[in-house]
Amino acid sequence: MADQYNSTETLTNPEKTRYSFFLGCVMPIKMPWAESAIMQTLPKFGVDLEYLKKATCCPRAGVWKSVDERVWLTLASYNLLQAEGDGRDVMASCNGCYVTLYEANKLLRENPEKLKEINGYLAETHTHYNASIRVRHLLEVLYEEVGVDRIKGESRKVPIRVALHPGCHMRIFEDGRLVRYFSELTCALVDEVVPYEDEQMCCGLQANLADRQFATYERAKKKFDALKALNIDALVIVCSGCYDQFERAVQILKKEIGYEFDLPIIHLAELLALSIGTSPDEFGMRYLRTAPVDSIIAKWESDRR
Amino acid sequence: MESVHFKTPDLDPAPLNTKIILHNPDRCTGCRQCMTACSFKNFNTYNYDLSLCKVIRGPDNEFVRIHCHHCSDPMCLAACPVSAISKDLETGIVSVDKMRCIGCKACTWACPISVPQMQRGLKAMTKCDLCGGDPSCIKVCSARAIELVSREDNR
Amino acid sequence: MSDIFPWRRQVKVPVPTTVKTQLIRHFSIGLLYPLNEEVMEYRRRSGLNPVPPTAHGYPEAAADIQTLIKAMKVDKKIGLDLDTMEYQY
Repeated sequence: MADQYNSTETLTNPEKTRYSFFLGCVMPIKMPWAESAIMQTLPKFGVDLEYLKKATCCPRAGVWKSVDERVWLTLASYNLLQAEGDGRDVMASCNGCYVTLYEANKLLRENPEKLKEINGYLAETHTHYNASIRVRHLLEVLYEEVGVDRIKGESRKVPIRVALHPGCHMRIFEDGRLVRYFSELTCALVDEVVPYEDEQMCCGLQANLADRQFATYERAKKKFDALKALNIDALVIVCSGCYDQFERAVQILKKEIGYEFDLPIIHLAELLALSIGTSPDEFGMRYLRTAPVDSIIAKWESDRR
Repeated sequence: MESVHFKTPDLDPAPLNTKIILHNPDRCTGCRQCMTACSFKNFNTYNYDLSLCKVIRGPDNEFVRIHCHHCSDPMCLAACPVSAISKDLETGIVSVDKMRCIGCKACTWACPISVPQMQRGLKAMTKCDLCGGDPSCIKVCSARAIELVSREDNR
Repeated sequence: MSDIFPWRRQVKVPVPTTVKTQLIRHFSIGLLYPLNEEVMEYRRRSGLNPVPPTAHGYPEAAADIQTLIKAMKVDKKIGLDLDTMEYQY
């Protein structure tokens, strides 16, 4: 079973570590700070990164697998072929987009019949997908290609205490390596990572399809309650889908019951940018936040002084 | 009038290669994607009440999944007064014949974890049939908390 | 079934209400969230191009999505008229 989801496939071109960054739906609209931090920081660590142009919704595999599997595979291929045309592999930061694209790519590589069928539909748009590229997560790129040692060597820890929210889709590999990468990378970038009981619990995004009350109160709010009791500076995420749900839940809870969640939710790439000395204003850290990040910036500034 | 005796068929021991769903609470994140997939597969809607599997909090705050285990010797089958429930000895799947079911709920009371539930509108019982052998819930579980395994492998 | 019940029509089941608007946005702009002036301003301040290089900046991508959906006849299956963006049931 572990081999079935092994992503360390042989490279089609060994010297190739060029990536197209798949933005997805949420990041360009709700998380410009994360997008900017990734685009500014990764090239400094030697990652050849460009945008994946003409990106559309990944689409949501959880929905389309049950409605019509062809839609999932065709629309995912439409995104992947944009990178394939540039001779690049795909990198995603959102766990949901990663799983959708990774699994579609894997299925199409293993099943030529399916690939032929999908290319029949893609021919309508005069495009073709050969399934010759890889799909990788931001964490895989950072951990396996840049390496924790290099990051530690070139950065200075941000003096804050944080908690992690990995998210459900980060657990697709039996060995749990993505979660381990996330934890080790964050430990290398901050003073302390505080564990908590509900760390594994889902953010509730998927539950919105069936029951928004449940998604907000039984998942997001339970998580917020646990986090508030920790006395930490921030919640660290990498998944845009989870951020989307948390942002929505913060607004709903404030409106419905006056619940204040004043803990900033930040992206791992922001920590990386801060730790190598990028000014928060260079990547727009202060804008479009669920809670002010001034306390984090103040601690970072006093440490750098 | 001649009395009618319904009796359970003489069951061979269930073949060990039949499949069942195994849930691992250590991996489950409680996202309930399996429940949405189940309700969509069976009722074309996203509704937790209609889902034939349930993910709830257990006594130690862990996530517990309630789903049909397609027992070797099903209590629901034994309790059914009209022989509407049958077990396919080839595949191991326990299913309800909704044309025969009278909706008495005897199967729900008999089942140790109350899996069979009343189907709204139809007034007949419904339960997991493993989607005919290819369960929708397993396809959507990203955390790999549920998997289809054979009884033999998991003795 | 039609031999036994010639007058019976197949029931058309609508897609769940929670995804109806999402699907319209997906097929009309290619993504789930639209771009507005406020977001463009924040993107500019974050050192980014105000229009992201996604389907927001390439409207032909959304047109391609519609072409693919029509090719798979999924619009008929979910009862969505892609020209008017209205559900038939």
